[in-house]
Amino acid sequence: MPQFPFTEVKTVRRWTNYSGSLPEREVPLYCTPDVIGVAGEAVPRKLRRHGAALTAILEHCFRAPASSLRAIGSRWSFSNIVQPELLVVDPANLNAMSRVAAPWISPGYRQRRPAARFTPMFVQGGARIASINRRLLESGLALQTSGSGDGHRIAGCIATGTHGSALGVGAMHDTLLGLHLLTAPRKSVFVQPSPRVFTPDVAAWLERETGIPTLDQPDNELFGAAQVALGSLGFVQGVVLETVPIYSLSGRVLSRPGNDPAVWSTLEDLDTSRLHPDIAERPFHFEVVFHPYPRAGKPGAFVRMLWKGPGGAAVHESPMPSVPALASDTMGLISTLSGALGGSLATLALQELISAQLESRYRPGEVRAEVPGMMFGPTGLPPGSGASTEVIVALEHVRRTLGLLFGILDAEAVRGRHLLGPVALRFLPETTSLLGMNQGATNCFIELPSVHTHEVLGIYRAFWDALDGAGIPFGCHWGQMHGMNPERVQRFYGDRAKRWMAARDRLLPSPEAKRVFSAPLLREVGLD
Amino acid sequence: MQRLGSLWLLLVLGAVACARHVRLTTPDTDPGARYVCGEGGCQPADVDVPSERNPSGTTSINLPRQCAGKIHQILLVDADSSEPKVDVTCAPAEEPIDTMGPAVPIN
Repeated sequence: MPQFPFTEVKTVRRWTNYSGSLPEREVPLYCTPDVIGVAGEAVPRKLRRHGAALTAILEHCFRAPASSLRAIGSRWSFSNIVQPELLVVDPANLNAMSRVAAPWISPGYRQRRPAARFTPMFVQGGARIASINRRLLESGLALQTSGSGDGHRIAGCIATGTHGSALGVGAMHDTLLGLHLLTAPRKSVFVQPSPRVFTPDVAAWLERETGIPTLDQPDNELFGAAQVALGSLGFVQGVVLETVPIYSLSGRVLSRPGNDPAVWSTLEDLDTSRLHPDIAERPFHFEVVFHPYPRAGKPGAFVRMLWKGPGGAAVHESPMPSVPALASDTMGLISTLSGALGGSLATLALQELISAQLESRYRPGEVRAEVPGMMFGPTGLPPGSGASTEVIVALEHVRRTLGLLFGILDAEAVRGRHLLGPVALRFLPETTSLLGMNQGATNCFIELPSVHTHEVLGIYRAFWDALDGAGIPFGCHWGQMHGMNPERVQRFYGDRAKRWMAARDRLLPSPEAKRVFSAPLLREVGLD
Repeated sequence: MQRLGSLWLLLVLGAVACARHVRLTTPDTDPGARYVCGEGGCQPADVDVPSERNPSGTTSINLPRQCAGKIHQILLVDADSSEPKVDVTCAPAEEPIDTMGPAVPIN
């Protein structure tokens, strides 16, 4: 077994992702750089240790035939974007954070984004959102947006296009200001937008700290590709995020019938004012969750709206660890049970079960002010037996898309096949990234989280196929179960897919580099 | 029929599965490298299947935030009961030897 500096190397006999959606497999080389006790104290500074470890690992991957490198993050992805092959890097200890020195911020950026409001923050790729939230909070800062949970590692988060529902911000990748990509042994690039946000000092600092030669690269095309890189444009050593002063979020939850006209009209034009006539300001965060099998006259649409307030309006605290809502073997049992039971009895039982879950989670009324790290904290999602897909369409297609979806849910329920979870809608503005899912001017993300059953996977497939049949261009969340193939990628991303591949050619010009950072996902969707 | 058979098997197994487990979590920390420990010492974990770390019969207890993630000793009292207790001894922080003078960042 090869050894790498400051790194614990082991073989993992059985490995899978958090949801268990990927088949268990062996990982021959599971590498964790900078494990306490391996690194010791009489050693170089932290980033230099990481640079030495990653350089040696990359040398091995480039030299060994058929070797590839996958950084695995928190493994929350349902899709094979996290699927390891021969070698995995666990970046758990790559979690340093540093403010970018004020003189290294370009005058142009300071003019566009006053420094008093925005603080560029370097974050290593392995840092979890929870950890970033905690440390930012200590400095009176916050992320502009995040996903609904805080368990992701930042590199994985942006690689898959993770998002919240911040109407005026975008997804996590839309708050990036730069990325440090290791593209070969002793070769890295700091990619940033053009006109540049940072002086060349940032790239020089990265080179000095990691010991890896670093090219400063202000280039919108490379930056747009790297924003959502699918883990395939090099190893993300770190990113620079644009953070903001700490704020609070508060608001309200509405509970309406599933066919509520005001809710449905809002889905078409995102004019949320009809849902909050007493508040003039548009909410910062807007989401709608539907019951998949709504009962007449009962709550079937739950709306959560959050407005930004001053940081001082909320207690500055971090969430306690969460406990899985169910044991994983119980989840497995539900998965089996749902297949054994069918017909209208199952539909009735599910209506009650899902209603109870939604009504307890989305209690109508005021949402008290919390800092974003508390509002979007840990989830109680149990590991194993999970499934989820998320379809993204432009706002003008939302009503038709939901019509197709509820038609499928009804038809499948008659046959005893049920979705075992809600229909959740979130909204984002357009991205500058090439492969971010928020490609339209305004985008609706329709998520179908569920327990994993063959029936549920069938519903997902029927949904994707129905969208094709209706001629509605759609994307799927890269980190969830998806129906993307070369044709659908071409239809949804158009020219941007080719531009992403061209950027990949520039960042990874050699066949060895492409091999090392390739993934089964790229081959499946025609991006290899 | 085969599906119902496997369902009954699961139900029976679930009913007889009465092992108890205790999950201890330190607040304000992130998951890192994993080990499996017994009286003989600790080994890097060679199985990484998240659902196997969340079995039925698990009691979850959060360790004190005051330890700031540094623990000296944990005694599980009545670990095999439905109401286990945890006796925790924090560890004081130990900074590396410093030299008097202007502060120098360590990491």
